[in-house]
Amino acid sequence: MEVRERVPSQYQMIRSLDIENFRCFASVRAGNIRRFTIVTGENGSGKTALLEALFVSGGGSQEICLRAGAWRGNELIIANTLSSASSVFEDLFHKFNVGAGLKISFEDTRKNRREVQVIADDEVVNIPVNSKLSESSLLSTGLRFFWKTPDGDFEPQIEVTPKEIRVSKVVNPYPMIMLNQLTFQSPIENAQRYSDLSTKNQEKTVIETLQGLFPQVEDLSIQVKGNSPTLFAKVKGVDRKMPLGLVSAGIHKFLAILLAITSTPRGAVLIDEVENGLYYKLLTPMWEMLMKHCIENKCQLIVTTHSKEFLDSLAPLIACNEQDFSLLRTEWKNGEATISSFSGKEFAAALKNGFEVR
Amino acid sequence: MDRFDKENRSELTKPNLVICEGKGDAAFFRHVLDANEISGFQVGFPNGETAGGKFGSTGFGKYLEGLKVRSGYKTLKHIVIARDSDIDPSKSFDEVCDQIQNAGGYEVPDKPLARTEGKDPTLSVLLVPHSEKPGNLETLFLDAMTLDEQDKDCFETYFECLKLDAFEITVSSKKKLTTIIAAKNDKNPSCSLAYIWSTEQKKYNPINIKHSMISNIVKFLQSF
Repeated sequence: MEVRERVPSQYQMIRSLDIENFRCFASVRAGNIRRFTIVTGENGSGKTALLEALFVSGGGSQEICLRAGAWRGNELIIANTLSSASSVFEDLFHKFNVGAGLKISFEDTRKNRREVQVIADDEVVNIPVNSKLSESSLLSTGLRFFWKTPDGDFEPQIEVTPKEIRVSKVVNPYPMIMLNQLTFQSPIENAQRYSDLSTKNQEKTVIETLQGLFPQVEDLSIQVKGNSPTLFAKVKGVDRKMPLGLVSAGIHKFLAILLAITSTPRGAVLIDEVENGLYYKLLTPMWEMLMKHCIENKCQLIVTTHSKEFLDSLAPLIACNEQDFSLLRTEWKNGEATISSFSGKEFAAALKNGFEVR
Repeated sequence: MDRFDKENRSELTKPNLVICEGKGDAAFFRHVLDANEISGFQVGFPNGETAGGKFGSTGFGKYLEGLKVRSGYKTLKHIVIARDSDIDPSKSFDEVCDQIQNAGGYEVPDKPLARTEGKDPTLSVLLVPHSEKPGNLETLFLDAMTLDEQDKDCFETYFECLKLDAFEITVSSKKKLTTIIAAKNDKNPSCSLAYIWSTEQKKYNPINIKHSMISNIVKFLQSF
């Protein structure tokens, strides 16, 4: 992968998002995005798609779209049957309408704008590299991906062959991490992030924060387990170090979020279904700690949830930090997904009155 | 959480909403709506302490502010804010209007019972017992009481003896109503206003739901 070296613009917190023809969204705007943004909505109303829209526009090449597709179960298999770029990417488009193209853009507090646009282009033709296909011609419409950033406009090139994906002219990505059920427990990524911190002698804060909630954890280290670096914990009363995932899935998840935040200064961490696996009594203190780390790292946290318990645990924190919070609610009505934005003040008032906001 | 709390917090599914001061008021409005088969309303009341440490009528602003976030808000066509007239009905109306204004996103009505114009949800303010009469929900219930003459004389003598009318009407009404409920209710003398409309309490409830003072409220609710 070719990455051109350049100094990226310093972004300052995403404030609004515009989506056209992406997944379930025809045309929507999510305004009022704050440092801590909570996304609610029924199943299938577009919560995950909203995070994916941010993630894709923050990316630096088409590869990020493939990863987002893989998280949805559409794992890309580079096989002999692969014949069309539009068939690989069609699930990105609203109602699979590749011809309509798609556009996602977000703006930050400094009015910096970042935009990704994908258009179908008849002049670009994909030819399958596959000797086993019998038809004389299997040409298909190509897709062009454009990124517009404060540093300039870029058109990364992608070449899909039966053996690999080649991407060139890659854009500097927006610092962004997406945590979901598949990426939370990624041992290599978590070990890498911890290792980066440790190299800079900055791991102490993370360990102390972890101990604040889970005093049984005495220390963390990276050990090689079956050729792969993995995070291990030294636990009180246990005479050998244990892989963190074995100690507790909740501890592992909290640490994964903490490491993502500290690894993404001036960026954003997106979390799908944040509440899973966490003990209810720890939710408020956990959030207090995550908020502190976000502020210290100038990082933004955008999370989806279905949990009333989680929202209730946030209520006292939102009440004291109204300006830092907002709520986005996705809704599916008459075949279209919409996004409604609410201020932290309105969100706090709703939680105070015990209203159903999911 | 009882049925009034559930109705107060759940997704909005009806086109109209009555917001009243507390659970006792909510129980009354729910009963009036059900008894008169007015089905297009949900009933709610402010929850928790306000910034000033008070409940009830001071919580309308925060309620309206948070209401915009509540699921189903887009289905809402009209909001009735029902509050006590208290000592000065005109001042009470102005206080509600200030809270509506501060909540943001709502038109403010120009007089009690008037419906705002413009985008949904429209809004109106209903003063209890009446737009021009000082008092509260308890005053309304005293006006709508059905008592036989003997009981009536007895209570009047008792109230006079205790000089209850020396208190402000908001206080004296509460004292009088509590006394009558306690005297008339053999099973639950301390029955609260949230429970007085229940089926079990029906035979001890001296308040006449068909009284003209209550019929005025019914007519107003039926107009939506």
